Amino acid sequence: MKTPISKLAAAALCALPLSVAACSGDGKVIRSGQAANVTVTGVNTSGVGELSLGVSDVSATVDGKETPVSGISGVLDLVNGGAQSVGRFSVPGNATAVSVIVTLDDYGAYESADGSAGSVDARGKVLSFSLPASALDGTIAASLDVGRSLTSGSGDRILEPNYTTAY
Amino acid sequence: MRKKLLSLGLVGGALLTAQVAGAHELSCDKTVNGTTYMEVSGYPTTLHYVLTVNNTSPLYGSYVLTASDPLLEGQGFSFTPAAPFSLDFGASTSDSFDVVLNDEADCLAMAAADGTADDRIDNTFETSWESGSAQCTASVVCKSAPPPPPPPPSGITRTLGFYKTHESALSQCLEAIDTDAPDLASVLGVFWGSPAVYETGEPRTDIDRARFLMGRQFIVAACNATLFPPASSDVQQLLADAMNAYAGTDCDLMMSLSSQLDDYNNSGDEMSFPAGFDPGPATPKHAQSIADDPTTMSADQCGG
Repeated sequence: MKTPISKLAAAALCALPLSVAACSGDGKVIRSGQAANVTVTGVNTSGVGELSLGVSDVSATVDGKETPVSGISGVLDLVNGGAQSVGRFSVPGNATAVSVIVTLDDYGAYESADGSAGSVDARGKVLSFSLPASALDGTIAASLDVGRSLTSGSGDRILEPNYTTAY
Repeated sequence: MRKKLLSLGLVGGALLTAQVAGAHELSCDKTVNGTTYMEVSGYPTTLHYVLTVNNTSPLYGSYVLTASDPLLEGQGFSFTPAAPFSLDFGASTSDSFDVVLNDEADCLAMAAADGTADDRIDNTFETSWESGSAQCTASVVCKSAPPPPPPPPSGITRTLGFYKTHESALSQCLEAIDTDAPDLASVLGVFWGSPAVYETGEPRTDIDRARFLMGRQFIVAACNATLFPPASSDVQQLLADAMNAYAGTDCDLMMSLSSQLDDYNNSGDEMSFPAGFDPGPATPKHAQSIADDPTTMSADQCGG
């Protein structure tokens, strides 16, 4: 590899715009074909001014078969955003079991109430829910306990999800 | 096993529900050696897991339908008391389990058993009641037994998380690389953008997702190599490989290279900045506000 790194990086980054551009109801009983909505809310946020976590993927299975998820959100504001929908999918009336996996994006960001800020390492972290379809009433509402989930690591903060799910 | 537990739990819960009035809710706690995140570098060592179920209802007793930690169950653990069981209001019950790691290989084997072959033991404790569940996690990172060799002079790196929150450092990178480099808002757009969806909300195609994930790790690696030179020949080769892969359609290769780039970007994250380098403050709120994801759907598809 003889290319000087600066030239290589320059060529690569300058190629990016082209290459990037080129590639570049709560309380309702589920009925046949009705959408189930997955929401995430941040709770116990005292001392945290901002917490943004990206959503890398949302997958859902009904009775073991993958089902399409629509309305997948991009970034979650877990301090000021309230309950945010991360995806919706359909559950047939005769379904028995539902599973959802929300995969978080690798790095989020936080800002403490005292003004300190930085990134949040969420690599490989998921929010997962498995429930009997009969228990579903239209919304799978996850509450992420922000205070319990943010851990100090060797660098910035590390996310160890601690959450409850109501349905 | 999980299904069986759930079935048993549902039956037990149904039998017992008649005795309970009102809504109730549970939370859980999980620690390993008293914390939720730890790094292990000395062996042998014992991981002492403590799993707790709390009844957070101020008024009612609750029935715990399930209390399960699949990874620890694979090591011989079963939560005691066995679910289903009742828990008085405001009460908690805990169980603990020790895992002995004789060497790094033991640690890595357990890390692989969580479903992802990496250096982290990630596992989740889950407890459920008839209308909800609570999950809590604790992680252990497997480090090499001997202290790592002294880092080479060029070993300083920072992660994607750093550059997406430090506009000044990212600007310095873009200026150092080339005046024709993408503008700050576009690069931040890629860093803050969603791998799952385009800015329009439409789901990304598989190839666009692979390019997106590798592309941003590539930019970070290029910044590390530029701001903290010299990069090793291995890193230069990795960048060249990533560039070639970006132009192709081999999505598996792109995901593999993305992981390798991420490893490189994390490799020197704990090293101090070189003298004279000022990264500026972390400004995540402002960085996110100016981020403008330029990516759009391509016509390509994943291929060999």
